[in-house]
Amino acid sequence: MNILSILDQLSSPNSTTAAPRRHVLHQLGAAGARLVAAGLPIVLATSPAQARPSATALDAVLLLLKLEELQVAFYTQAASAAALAAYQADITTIQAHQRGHLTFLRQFLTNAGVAVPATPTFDFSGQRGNTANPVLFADVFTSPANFLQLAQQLEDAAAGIYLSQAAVFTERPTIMALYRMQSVEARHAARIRSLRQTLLGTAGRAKSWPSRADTAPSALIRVPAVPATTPASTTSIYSFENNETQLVGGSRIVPYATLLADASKLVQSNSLAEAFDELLPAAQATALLNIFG
Amino acid sequence: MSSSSLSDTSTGTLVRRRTFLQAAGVVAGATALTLAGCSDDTPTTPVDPYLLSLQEADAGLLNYLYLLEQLEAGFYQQVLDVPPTDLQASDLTYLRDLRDHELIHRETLLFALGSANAAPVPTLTFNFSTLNLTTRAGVLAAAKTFEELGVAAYNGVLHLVADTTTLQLLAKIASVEARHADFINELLTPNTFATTMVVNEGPLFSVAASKTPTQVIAEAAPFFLPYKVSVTALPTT
Repeated sequence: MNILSILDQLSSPNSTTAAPRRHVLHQLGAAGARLVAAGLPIVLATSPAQARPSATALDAVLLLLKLEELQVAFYTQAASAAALAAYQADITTIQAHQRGHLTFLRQFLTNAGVAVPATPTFDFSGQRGNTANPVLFADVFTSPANFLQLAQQLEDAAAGIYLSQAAVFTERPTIMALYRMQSVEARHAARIRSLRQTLLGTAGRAKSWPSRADTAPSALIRVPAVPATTPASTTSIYSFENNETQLVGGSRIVPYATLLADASKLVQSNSLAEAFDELLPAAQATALLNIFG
Repeated sequence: MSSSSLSDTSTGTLVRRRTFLQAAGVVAGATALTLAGCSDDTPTTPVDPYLLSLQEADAGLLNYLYLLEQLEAGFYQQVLDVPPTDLQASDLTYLRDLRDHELIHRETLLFALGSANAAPVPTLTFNFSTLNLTTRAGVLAAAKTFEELGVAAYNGVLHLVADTTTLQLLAKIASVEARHADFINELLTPNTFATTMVVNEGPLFSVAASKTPTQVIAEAAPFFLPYKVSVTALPTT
């Protein structure tokens, strides 16, 4: 099976211009050259207009690969945890989905002539394999509450990381694939949040979408703040979800204060931030993955 | 006499049709006639005032999603206005969230249309006569239909959106729609994870199901009546 070839059949013949081809060739070097030599489409394309040096297409695929490897490792450990027996059906289902994503991403790299890196070893305590380091996430696989609050953060982050990394690509079949994988991550996040809401009962709140009304996890994944500060400071991944400024074509800010002013359009104070999932940028995604492996 | 009036009628038809299509958001200019598809119609074809022909490119895609968000927001508003007697207070709390989200999505798309210099389709009143909205089960089943249709619709067209800023905003909306779909499933059948909407497709593994605009509009057709929606001008690749 040749993924790139199949994807190409789905793509518009006009969707690849010479400039992005040259650009991606530069990015991918020899791998890109082999791709072109083989007459395959450049699916690892980056628009020069939106590209940042740290956010190349290859970086994006490798980031997503590590994300999926982390998730597979997470649910594999969870699958054999006696304390999480009640969640086995969901764990098995989600694990199977993540494995599917992993298969796709590995095949993607292989077909692009890029060697698939070795799978890291992950440590979900946050100790990075060294017991001298502090435990950031205690009892992840022995406490249902601790498992669910970390799972929730990982799944919410996964949804946000796919959103940020899909934005790096210009090839339509690739964009389609990544957003449809993203949609599955969002479902996982919602599912884990439902499980957590059930466990919290009336003592807390975990809506199916990130909300300021949520009960914050007691052990938060912390990533570099945006904008960066000196000295460097960190923030919860949920700080990104508080965003209420949305942009449409031409980078126009959507003027919600005006749009929602009519009495028939009044919404609750948390709704505006809830209505959109937010991108978790590459730097924050990388920092998050590095906490665990 | 009769031939003269026929001629007048047909001219009027063409003019009205052009005017309507421009009002429905077809881009004005040299390509307008082609976009409107007038050349395919014989002059004597009666105008269907209830035909909403969505335009090409991003404008058409935005109007398509705008219609669906109108539909979802309209549905939740209807439920909140006339809730079934067996709906629980906790259900209502969440349905109010969903109504808010869909309303915000709807207004976002309307603004995006204006920002793209594309006229929006009219504000519609929907036909929910095929749904049973007098029971909790009926409302949740309908909500599941709308949410799954919405997610599949976004997944079917996101990659066709040309403007990258707008694409990213739509993806942020689609992500929340996926969460809605799972949430409604949880309310309807607790502790079941709806996996039927996750599919393998060619080289793709574990991706969300997607539907084309033609498929979506066919499923949603009863709710638009008496309007009919044509998506033939929308991009497909």
